[in-house]
Amino acid sequence: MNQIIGKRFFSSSSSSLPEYLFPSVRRLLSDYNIVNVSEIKPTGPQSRLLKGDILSYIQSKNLKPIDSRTLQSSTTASSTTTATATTSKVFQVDKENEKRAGSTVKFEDIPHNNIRKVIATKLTQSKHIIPHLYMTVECDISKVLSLRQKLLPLKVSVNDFVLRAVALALKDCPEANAKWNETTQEIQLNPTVDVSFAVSTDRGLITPIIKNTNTKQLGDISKESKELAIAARDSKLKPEQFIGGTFSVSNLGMFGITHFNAIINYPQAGILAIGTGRRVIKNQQFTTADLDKLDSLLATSEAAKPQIIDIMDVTLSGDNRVFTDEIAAKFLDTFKKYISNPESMLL
Amino acid sequence: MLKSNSLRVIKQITSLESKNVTPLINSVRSFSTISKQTIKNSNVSSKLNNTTMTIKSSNNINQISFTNNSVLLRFYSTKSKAKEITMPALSPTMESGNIAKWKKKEGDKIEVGQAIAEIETDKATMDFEYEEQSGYLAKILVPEGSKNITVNTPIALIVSKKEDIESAKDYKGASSTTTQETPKVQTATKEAPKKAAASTKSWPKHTVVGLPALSPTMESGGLSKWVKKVGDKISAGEVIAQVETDKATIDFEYQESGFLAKILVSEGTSGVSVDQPVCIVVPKKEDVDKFADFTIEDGIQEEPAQERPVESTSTSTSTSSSSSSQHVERSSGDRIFISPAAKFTAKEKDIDYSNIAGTGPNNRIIKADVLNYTPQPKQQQQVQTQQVARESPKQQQQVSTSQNYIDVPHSNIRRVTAKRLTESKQTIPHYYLTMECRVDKLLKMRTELNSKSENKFKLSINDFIIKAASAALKDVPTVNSTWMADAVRKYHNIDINVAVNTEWGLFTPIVRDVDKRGLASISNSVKQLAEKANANKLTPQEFETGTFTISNLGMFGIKSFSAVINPPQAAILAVGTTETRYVPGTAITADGQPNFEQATILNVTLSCDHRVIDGAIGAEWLQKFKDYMENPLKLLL
Repeated sequence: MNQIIGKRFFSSSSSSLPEYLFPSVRRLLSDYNIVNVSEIKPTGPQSRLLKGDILSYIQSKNLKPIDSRTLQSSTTASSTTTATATTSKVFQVDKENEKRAGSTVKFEDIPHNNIRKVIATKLTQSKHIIPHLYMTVECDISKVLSLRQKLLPLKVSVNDFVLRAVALALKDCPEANAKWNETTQEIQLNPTVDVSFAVSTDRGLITPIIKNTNTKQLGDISKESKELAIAARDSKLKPEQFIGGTFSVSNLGMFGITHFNAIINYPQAGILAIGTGRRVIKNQQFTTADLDKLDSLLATSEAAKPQIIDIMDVTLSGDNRVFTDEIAAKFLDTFKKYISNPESMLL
Repeated sequence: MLKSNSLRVIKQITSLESKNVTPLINSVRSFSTISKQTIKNSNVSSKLNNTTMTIKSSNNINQISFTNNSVLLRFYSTKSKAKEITMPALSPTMESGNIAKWKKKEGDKIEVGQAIAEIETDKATMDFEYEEQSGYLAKILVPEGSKNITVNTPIALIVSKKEDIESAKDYKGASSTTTQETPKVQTATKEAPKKAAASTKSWPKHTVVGLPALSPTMESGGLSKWVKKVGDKISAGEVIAQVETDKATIDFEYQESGFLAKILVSEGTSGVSVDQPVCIVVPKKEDVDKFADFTIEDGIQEEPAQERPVESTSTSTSTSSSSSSQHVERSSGDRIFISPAAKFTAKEKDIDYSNIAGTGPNNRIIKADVLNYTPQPKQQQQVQTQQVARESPKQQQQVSTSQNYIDVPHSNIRRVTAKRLTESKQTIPHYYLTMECRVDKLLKMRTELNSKSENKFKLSINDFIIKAASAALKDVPTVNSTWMADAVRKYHNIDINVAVNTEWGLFTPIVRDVDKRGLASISNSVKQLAEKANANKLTPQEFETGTFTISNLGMFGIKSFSAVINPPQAAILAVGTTETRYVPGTAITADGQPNFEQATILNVTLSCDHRVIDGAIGAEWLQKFKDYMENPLKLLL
């Protein structure tokens, strides 16, 4: 699909520079902003410039490295992670071709913080170890939205409904509330339902846990998730509040994402990716069970008329060793039943 | 240690007991012209533990190490001197031949591909053209007129330097048998990992089949049932026995064809360790009877004399795995340990090194292994195929249907693409975000702008996508970056690789500084690049990897797809086709019913490197992108 010939990333070939420069040499040249390379006498094989050549040139000319801060681009990154970057550097690499007349490649390096390192290691590991299975269902959330209005002034978010529905579905399908034991190579059922939910913070992603989620009512879940999210953003979570958990929920609905495929939070076996709620025109949905009486159903004007409903796509990423296709489908179906009939969750 | 070009571990005998010493000494003696005195003086006893004895002879340097009650013999051929030329298989069915005439004399120069002898086969007399190397014919081992020389028997010696001819003169049969075994194919498959083929004067050609490791953890098993009886024909892949492991009873499939000549371990025996010989398989039915009184001991006693690599029957140590067999079967995923020099040599000689058995430390393939490696003659395979075909018409059908393909050699682009994309999926934790963008306003704006272009430009939806992506990259610069070992490198310039569909395939040339350019400029750049791509005239600079990629398969009607990230970038946008559908309208009609309106929806999927871009950041980028696509006037800001 992407047929890009493997060229050196940003080859810095330039008419004024020799064909090939050692990385160390290139770095020194840019750090000290040396332009007249031809002034330096190369001593390497095939008249190549060596790092030593540059160093002696720098010494003879008594050059100072350019202060990287003066070069920092005025472009302030809107991303929150920039704020945490303590030592940012800007390098300039000369780059000349017809299209980029005289302009340069600019970049800044933001050193990894601990969270970033952990995220990188864990998620790479997850994709390596876990055979990811993806399954998407469309849920009608019209009733959730109207129930939310009824519950006011108690503020319950759609996400709270999702967490509750996930917990109940996990309780109903214990084989979905499991993980793969690498040592015994067997499925291991989890004794409790502890749902983690993804919170984006300045320093990166963190997944606090609502313990025994299935035993908590909507109001409790709502209150606890808010507190945990605030604690996460203030980095005040205790280890036991984010280590563990039996299943994860990641919600990007607030950004308008239709649907997405999340990476499983290893060693858990499943994560539910929640898309945005959107209004669509739908005819009444029939299941295969309704096929026999389809004619009579369609005869009624109500069923035949297209309706406007609010739907939400949820995608399960499951560890295929735990979530067989059947278990995954059963879990999603159970979840869908709860979220489409929120009154069943209030019990 | 000895410095030598080639090293062969011939035999390892664990448990140093007196009864084992005699064949050991015999084998050493047979290998070279070591005096009996040398061996006697060595006085093999337990006192010799952890010592190494080196015996030099005219052609070989032999080394005996005594460690932990085991004896390890190493035979270092002083190499570089002489290489055997073996009887070639000149026709698929040829098993032996006669040397009708030597066309070269001892001392003559041989060029690659020159005919060196005339060989009489069952069908015709043919020239034997030696293809492997050029050099000088040092010694003729089999004189003119000799009859019934088995294929792969050494018939002459070749040296690469003229001055080595003399030294090769006293090359004895003993050392030549060392290398004689090399062309014999030793397959080590998963089913029967350790087995040894042997053919001697006393025993016809046969294979000692060891108990295979049928599970990764299996160390021993029980022979619950023999499915085949002595004398039965075995087709490759057929089940010959059932083996009970700690977990289950598993069929033991034998991967070669032949006839079961002798069962060494009777039915019902348990605790048979892996690699212990369980039966003998011979290629010819008439040889079956000759193995009636064959015992395991025979096999072991014989082999040192035969100078054949044999895995010891008892527990194998790490050294035992370095057998001298030159050919191994590796499954495609296995990592191949090979020294750089060996790799280079293999490449130079165009040898596929994946099947060479390594003899270096940890079975690493060393240069000498590559130099000694003779690629499996194709004729042999054909022999097998033909035999199978003759024997079973059903299989013949399979053979012919299996040839219903053509191999299209990889182009350079394909090879590079394959390598990069595989590497990408293996190192980058991908996740995928999908977003719907309503592009009605954009389409309207495009029509308006194009109507006033005065033929200076013609904007496509793709040009808007490129521009909107660059604007979103400016807003969320984390997406415009690279993961590095210690840091995330955020680029300040925005260079986007754009998919261009041509008759040569899909190319993604680079459009530089997209954020600093207007729609017309972007559009014209893309157009130029597309023209160049169509003419296959893109320069390497135009192929360079930018900071972000947009792949568009909308023109093929794909609704949405997940693209593979193009390293070292952190994200790629996969653009699907636009679809027109009815959506709930914003206004309410007079009768209180919600109205419907037609909308054009574009599906885009962003593949992100989760190490760099957390879900929320990727989503924020798509939100911005959607905003620009749905309100294209914002692109002016």
